[in-house]
Amino acid sequence: MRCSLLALSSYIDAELEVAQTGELEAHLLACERCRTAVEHLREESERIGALARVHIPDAAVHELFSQIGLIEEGDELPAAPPHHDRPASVEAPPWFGAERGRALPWAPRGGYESNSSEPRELIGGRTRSVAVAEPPELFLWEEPMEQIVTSTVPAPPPVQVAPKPAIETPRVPEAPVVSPQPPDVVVEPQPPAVDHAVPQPPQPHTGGAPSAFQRMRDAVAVRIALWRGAGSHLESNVEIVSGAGAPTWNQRAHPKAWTDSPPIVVAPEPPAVEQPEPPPLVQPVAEPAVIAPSGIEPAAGDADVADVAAAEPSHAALATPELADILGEVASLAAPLGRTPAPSPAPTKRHRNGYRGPIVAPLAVPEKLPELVEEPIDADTLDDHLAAVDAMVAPDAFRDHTAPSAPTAPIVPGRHVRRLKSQTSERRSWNPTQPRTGRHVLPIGGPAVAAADRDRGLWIFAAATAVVLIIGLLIGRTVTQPAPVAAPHVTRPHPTAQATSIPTIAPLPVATPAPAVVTGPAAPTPQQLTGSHTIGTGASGFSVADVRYGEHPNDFRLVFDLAFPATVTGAPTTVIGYDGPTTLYVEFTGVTGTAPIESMPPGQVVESVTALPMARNTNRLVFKITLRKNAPFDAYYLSGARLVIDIT
Amino acid sequence: MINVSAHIAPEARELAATVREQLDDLVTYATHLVNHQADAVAFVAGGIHHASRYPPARLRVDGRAALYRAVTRACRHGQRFPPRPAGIGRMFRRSGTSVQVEVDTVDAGRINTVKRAMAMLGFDRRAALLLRDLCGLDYHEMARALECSPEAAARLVAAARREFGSIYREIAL
Repeated sequence: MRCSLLALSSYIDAELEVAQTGELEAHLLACERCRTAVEHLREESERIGALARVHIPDAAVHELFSQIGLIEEGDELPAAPPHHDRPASVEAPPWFGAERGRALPWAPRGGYESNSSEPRELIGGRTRSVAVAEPPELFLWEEPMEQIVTSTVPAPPPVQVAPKPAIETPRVPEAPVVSPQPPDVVVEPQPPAVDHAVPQPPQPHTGGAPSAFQRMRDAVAVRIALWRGAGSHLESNVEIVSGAGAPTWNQRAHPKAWTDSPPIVVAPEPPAVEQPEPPPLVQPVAEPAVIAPSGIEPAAGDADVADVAAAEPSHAALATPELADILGEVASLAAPLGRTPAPSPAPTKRHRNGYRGPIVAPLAVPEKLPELVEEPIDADTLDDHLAAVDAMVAPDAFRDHTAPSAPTAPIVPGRHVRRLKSQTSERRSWNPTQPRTGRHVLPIGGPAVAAADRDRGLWIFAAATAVVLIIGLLIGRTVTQPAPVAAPHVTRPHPTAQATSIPTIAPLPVATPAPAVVTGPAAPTPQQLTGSHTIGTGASGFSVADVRYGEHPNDFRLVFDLAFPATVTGAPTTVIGYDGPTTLYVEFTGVTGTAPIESMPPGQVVESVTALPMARNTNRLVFKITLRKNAPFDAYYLSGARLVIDIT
Repeated sequence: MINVSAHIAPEARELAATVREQLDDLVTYATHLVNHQADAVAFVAGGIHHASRYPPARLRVDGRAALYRAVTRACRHGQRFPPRPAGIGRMFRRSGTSVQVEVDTVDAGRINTVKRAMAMLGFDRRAALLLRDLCGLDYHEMARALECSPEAAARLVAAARREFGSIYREIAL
């Protein structure tokens, strides 16, 4: 039987057949890796099963059922099942002092619980044997802070001084033993050398809002975890593959969560090379080997830490190296806070179990263990510390300085870190209920599903639509605005003096006014006119620049001054005739527009001269002249395209 | 799905009894699945309302798995009861709260490391973990709830446990 995560998971769920169960149990006897995996899987299962439960009161159930329509308002609820309060969960990791993880090679110290007599207030009503230092609770946004009871929190238990371990100190040999194989030299990790060491139990969590230190500790932990994403040895695939020939994360042919493809069989291990027995371990000072995991040292009398580590080398090979490495970094990072004395940088050597952690100098018979002092931290100091932590968790901060000759492998972030950086979910389809996994969600633990996130797309769509509408309105307004009529700059002389003077041949000023848009009656066609005269040469490109009038010795004279470009010669075709007894029409063909015509002074033969609106895309311009009486007229062109109409 | 609403009235009492028996677990499951208390109650109400359209024989055969399937479906697709108004109008008015019930979800709504790690899982894996380890469904019931085969449910649970353990060990310092 090969190692299979699917089989192990089904085994702990009691879903295997009897024959398969027996076969797997026989396999577990021989495969230590699978035994560890089973323990891990059981721990994960227990963590999930220990999540907090929700209880709905009967009144709320009745209201819910009536709203859904399952029962009527006056109906009674069905019989409720008996409500059992589950034991509280153990959600703190074992290295924070919780119950010992089965897959971990050490046990939490028990000295604090045995000495404490005061009941402790823990979230979820945990027993005294569980978590001492819990990760800081972060609350949902809707949850008011008043719900957290802080006034009835009992005082923390008194500080208990652990007894000094009565361990005989072996004699230190004068000459150190030189190992034939330097990489296999075993040096037990030691706690940092401190002068005053007073074992003090960590402060129990008493509820309420997390303090600045707790928030910073959480931030540091998350950042280190994110930075160290490459340390994940587990893959999402079902099959357990590891060891020689195991594919890395980016070499998998099936990146999806699970696959039906045949599992990847573990390559046979190379033949074992028998190595000489390493020399006996010599410790200059026989102090108990203590690892300082983030400020929690085991009791001095608890000497099974090293024993367990030595008795279960395979467990240590799986869990201890990475964990001890992380804990050492956390201890060093927490040093600026005054929380835990930072271990001095020490060279690392390879442990016989694969452990590559810092080698701590032996203790010089410490009298007291370091005192754990939690200093108050304000916001500015917290920001400074966080910035310092960011600088410390830079890729250079964790480089192994003891092996400069070894080629440094590039840091490959883990798949969870890559997922956080990419801000993309594994599900390709949009799912409103799937929380967004990102830096804004992970550290603060806010509600992963919120209405604002779902409506954000609609808001963006509405904003884009509004912008398009505004742009359309602006463009349309600009297009439909009428162009101004360009008035030619022509000086208007005195009417009488100009009318009585002899017309000159000097060219008129050239202007090309735009067609005037004037509302008025429709102009008659030339065929409808009576007594009409047609003059002009049929040229085009003219425009009426001015209309002048004035008394003449024998008649009343109207003069239309036409403007034209220099390239135009001749005169436009003009038809003058009566449409009524006193209505005279002057129709130009080949004229593009006219300047505004001023009103006539009263008492003259001509009452008014009005330019009728031009038809679109035509060059036909008609003037309507209203007379006081029906009188004959004479019309002719002078040089310079000047039309003269003499009304007798 | 066949609409058998004409025959719902005689069977509503039976459905109400089944829902009453599983209501706490359903709300617990939805709370940890969507990580939001108010949404969880709305989704559970939507799922129960949807399950009232199931054929009575299906409810008798599947039992609680049918309810978990309805709630999972409601959580996956965001179906609430009463349904939220759709269209452009919902941008300008916030609809009233769906179902107003007093639910003791203080502990369940509190964020901890386990829930943080679970929030990084996909929806299917998170649902599989909760159905198996929190609600205690076997693989056949999970297959009914997740609309897959029992073998797929087993693989889903195994993969979810592995990913959850990996994430938990990364962030649980």
